[in-house]
Amino acid sequence: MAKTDLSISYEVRPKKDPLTQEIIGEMFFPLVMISIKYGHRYSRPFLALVDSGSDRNLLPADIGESIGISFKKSKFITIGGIGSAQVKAFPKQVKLKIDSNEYTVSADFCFEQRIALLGRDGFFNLFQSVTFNEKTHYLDIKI
Amino acid sequence: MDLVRILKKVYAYSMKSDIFLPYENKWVALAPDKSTVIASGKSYKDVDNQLKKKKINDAILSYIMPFDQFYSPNGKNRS
Repeated sequence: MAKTDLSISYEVRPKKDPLTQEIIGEMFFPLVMISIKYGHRYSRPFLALVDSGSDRNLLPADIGESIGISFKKSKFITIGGIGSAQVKAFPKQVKLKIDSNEYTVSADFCFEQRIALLGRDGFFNLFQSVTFNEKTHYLDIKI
Repeated sequence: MDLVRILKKVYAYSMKSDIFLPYENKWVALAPDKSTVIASGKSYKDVDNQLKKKKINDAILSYIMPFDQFYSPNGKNRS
């Protein structure tokens, strides 16, 4: 069956003033429902942030462990983010399921990472285009 | 904008972000329509275990980012 393009509405979350801690409105995030598969086991569906600033996919290690991935003897890489902060991450090949489509991708699993990130290598490069519509709060994925 | 897209947008805006207020910096399990939180915990594992006990298989898990922080991306350096 031919794969169809996806149009995904952003998810809404409360927004707080960082200084006063008062709720001052809402923020919209390009969160996409995915699941991952390793061997024969699928993870539960979870929301991942589509992040054009991430080089690669970065997933919480908990999710990997829940489907039988062991990181004990795995080689790690170092991920750098803001400032000098660095964390260890374990690259693995997994199947990424979005909508009804599955793709074999590489993802880095990290015990310090909480929000799942979908980056350029392993998400954006699967598609013809990924467009953020910040005015309409839609993510359009052209397959 | 076509009708389906408009309806989806109306639906998205009708979702109350208030439901997430008690769950800042936690993991939640959402009902399949994402309208209610059915479990929450400090970690994915914690919520996963709760769902296993309740025999719920169709929940959607999500980490609820802090509401007062702005996200900036990570880069990568090979070790």
